[in-house]
Amino acid sequence: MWDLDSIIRNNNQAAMDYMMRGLKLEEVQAPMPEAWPLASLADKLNAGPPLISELINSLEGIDAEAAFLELISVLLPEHEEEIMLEPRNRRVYRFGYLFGKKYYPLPLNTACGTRALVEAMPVELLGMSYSEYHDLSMRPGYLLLLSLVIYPYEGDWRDEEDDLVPFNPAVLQPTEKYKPSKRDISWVRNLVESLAVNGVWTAPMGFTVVKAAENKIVLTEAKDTPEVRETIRRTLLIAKIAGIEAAFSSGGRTSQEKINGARVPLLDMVRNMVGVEIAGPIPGAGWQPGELHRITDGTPYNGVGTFADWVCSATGCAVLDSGFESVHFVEGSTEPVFKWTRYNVATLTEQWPKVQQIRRDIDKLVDWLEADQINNFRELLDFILKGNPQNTEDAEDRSYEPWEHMCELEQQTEEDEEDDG
Amino acid sequence: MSESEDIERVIRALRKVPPKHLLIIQLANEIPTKYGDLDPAEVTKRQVEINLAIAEAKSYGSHTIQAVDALIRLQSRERD
Repeated sequence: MWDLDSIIRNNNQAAMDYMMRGLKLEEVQAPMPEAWPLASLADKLNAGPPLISELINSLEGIDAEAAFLELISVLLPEHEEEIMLEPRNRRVYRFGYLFGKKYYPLPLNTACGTRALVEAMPVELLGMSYSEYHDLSMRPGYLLLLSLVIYPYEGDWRDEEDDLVPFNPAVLQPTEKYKPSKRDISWVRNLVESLAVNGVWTAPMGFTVVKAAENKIVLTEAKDTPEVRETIRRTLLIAKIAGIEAAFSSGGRTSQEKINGARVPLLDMVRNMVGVEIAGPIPGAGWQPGELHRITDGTPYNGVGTFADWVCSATGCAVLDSGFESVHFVEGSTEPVFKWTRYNVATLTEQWPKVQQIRRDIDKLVDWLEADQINNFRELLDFILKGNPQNTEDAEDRSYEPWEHMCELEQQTEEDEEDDG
Repeated sequence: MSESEDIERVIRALRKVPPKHLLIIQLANEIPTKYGDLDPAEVTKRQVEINLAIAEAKSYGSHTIQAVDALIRLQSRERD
């Protein structure tokens, strides 16, 4: 069965692993001009008439060969001979090497065949994702830095799902003077009496009450509007006078409490890593990326602001700002399919120097923190606290809307597949 | 019957199999090559013949495998 949620989660985890292993490892693994596996020597020595099965494979795969030649003619026309005169199983490797020299290092599976290469442009997404943020399976250096940054998914509908009454009904402040009339009390009493136990009543303005027992109602859902808040406050007042027990099924958290709440497991983890004394002063809400840039850019702690940009999907680089929640999956596929378009190549080529710089800055900072995580994190936190000891509660309102973070690269969609068919 | 006699019989049987000139070999010799492979442009022009040749080769190959399997089963039965 095609389980898109699991596919996205697994891909997000792979993206985070890829990001955390650092840029150096990728540079070492990139195609090299003179790398020759011994298997190639064996192929060279294995002379003889072609197997019929090989002839069939060659003929059946001719469309991929033609598409590969077309790709070369568009992107690397000056290297057509150099690529095509390689043994068949080395052509993709040579293509990757030459592409990297002209554009940017292609995150290529060098063992893949021409068909896999032409069918999808290799793109390695490295963005922070909602699932990975909450999973917290990260390198220690990443967790320490993450504790400094605001919660990036404020206002995301996935958080709202878990909190159906998004305020605390017990502490609502009156918006105007109100004294329940006999008529109001009678109306609420009649409503409760008319409901069966477990019966549900939904007010059109946007809240839901369940009759939990003969003389007990539970508020299960409410919109966060001034009108609903005031009506609920009045209903609770009436219920109290009428002798009806009223309860709420939610934690009744305010918006700010919810944002801070999302960071609680992270801050707990960081306290365990470096101690309560060191981690204690971290503001519950963290710092805005702009603040972290202002405080640390150009200092020995350069990179903290960049890390915050990455966490908030705001680096301006497609691969760093996109997780697998922000790409399109053609039904049945386990990975998004990026098209070999001039736009994609130009975008990724233009952004590559910035991607490289951001990753180097983050890698350097993470390595430094992990070298002595208690002392180095204390040093960094002290520096930031001196720059701005305040938390960011009064900072601008953010509202994370997943659709605003869709990956800018061109991808294959169901419509493309229909056109191809 | 001894093992060497068995082998002789199989060889005689194989010699009686008529030669088969597969179309795919003929096409592979006819189609010009580019960079050591069959030229994709030429292959596209002769797609109908190629589809036929591939079908014939696959069919012949599967029959060959059936014959080999049959010989292997004969040997196994003797040993049982």
